[in-house]
Amino acid sequence: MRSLGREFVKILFQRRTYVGWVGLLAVPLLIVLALDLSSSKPGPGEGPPFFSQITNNGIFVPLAAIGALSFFLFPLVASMAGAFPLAGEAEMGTMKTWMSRPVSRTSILFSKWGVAILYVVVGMLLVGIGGLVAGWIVFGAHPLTTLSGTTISIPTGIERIVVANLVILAALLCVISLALFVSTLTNSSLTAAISAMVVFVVLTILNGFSYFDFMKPYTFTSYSLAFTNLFRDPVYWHPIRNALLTYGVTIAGLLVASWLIFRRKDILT
Amino acid sequence: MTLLHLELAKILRQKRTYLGWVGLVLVPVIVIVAGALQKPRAQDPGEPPFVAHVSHNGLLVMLSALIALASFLLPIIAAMGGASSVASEAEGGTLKTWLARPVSRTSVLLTKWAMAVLYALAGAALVAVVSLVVGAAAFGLHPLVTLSGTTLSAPHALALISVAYLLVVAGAVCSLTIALFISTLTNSSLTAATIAIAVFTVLTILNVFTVFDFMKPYTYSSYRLVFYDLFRYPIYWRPVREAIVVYAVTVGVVLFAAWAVFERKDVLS
Repeated sequence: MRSLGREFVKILFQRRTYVGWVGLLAVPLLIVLALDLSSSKPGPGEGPPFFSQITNNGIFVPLAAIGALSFFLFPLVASMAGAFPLAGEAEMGTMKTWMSRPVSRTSILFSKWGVAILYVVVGMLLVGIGGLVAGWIVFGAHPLTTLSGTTISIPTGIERIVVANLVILAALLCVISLALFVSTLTNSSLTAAISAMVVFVVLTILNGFSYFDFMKPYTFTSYSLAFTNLFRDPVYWHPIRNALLTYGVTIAGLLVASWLIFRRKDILT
Repeated sequence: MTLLHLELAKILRQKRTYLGWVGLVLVPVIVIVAGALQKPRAQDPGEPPFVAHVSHNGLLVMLSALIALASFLLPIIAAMGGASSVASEAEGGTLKTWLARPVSRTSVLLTKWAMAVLYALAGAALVAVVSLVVGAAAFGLHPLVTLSGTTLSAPHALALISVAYLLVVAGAVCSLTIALFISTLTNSSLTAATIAIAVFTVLTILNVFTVFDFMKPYTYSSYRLVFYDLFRYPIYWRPVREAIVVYAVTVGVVLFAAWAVFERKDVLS
């Protein structure tokens, strides 16, 4: 826990941290602004999931925002967050100093992983709370209409939005772990972050071709819309369970691989 | 000229250079494999043109790969190229050494920019050549059916496709120049690349909303698929011309800003 706290203080001293958070917070606010000013409202099925419902119900703002962000911007921020803690130390030449202290490599690796998660969680909270507050003020809050046509109360709706956020967080953990894994292989944080992004984009393109459908159950990118199943009545847990299983295996596999490499790595900088 | 050689040698010695190119080349390979093995099908509504009929014509492989590049992969790779040039020297602590030599800051900056452009251009050329050669081998080269329903002879279509590739590279040069500009403000290449990609993504999201339509003529991101207009009959030159003007103004202004900052920057590392 101590090393996690120390890591968190480190990221709070970086300008980049705040640039990322502000950028994320801007998205739900821009969505609210755009839809409030716009004369033509998005029709059903237009835009990212739940978009067309926003103007009737502000509660949908955090959900639509998180859905829109999970296609690209959140993975980008997650790969940045996952790549920097480890490779950044190597870049600045402070990794050696770390290693001369009586801390195990395992705990260093996991605190770096943990701080990346913490960073993304704060970003998600900003998007969720900022979107909810802005949506509530501008469009009001009403019981939510589910995709199946039934209605759920506001507290249940918020509860499900929180669960949806957790499902997306699990997807982002895959990206973070991927970036962490690459950052044990290279000393450049940029290389690690870009490699993670390229893997994410290439997998997304693969998922776009029906010939590669057989890979879909095993790639973490193909579950990006799994969270929408929470807004059916009754909830379809099956795709969500599948998604979480794939995420769990991906994360565990990448973490073990990073641990195996980092444990025996020659630290030269 | 010596500066250009030096920079080129530097780029060719970095692992991430090849990583970026490999990521790019994977795209046409995926398109070809999927197209060769997939059953022929009709174009889905909402699907970009050209992709569904890839297996009929090797030229369509080039176009399908280009669509994927223009929306995601090339801006990412270009931002990486632009960001790593100045900021990674600062990270490695070698920027000081550079500036102790009798070279002007202007020529250092412009060389780095030119190298990044060359990198993006080489990546796009690689994709073009791979998809042309493999696409021709797999599906043959046939006259291309335009979006207006007329037919273009294969050589004529090939010439237009080359122009389309150049247009997409020109769009990526905007991302790259923004990354270069940010990298004169920060000493972290990762920050510069992430911000450049985030700017592109946020602009793309804004372009979706009708309220922000007034911005569309001025944002470089709204022209990323302008090359479709080359494949109409007669060709719509107007949007293409507008795109080129917007690209040129964006690149000119941002590059000038980068120069103004870098020219007077305190180089501390």
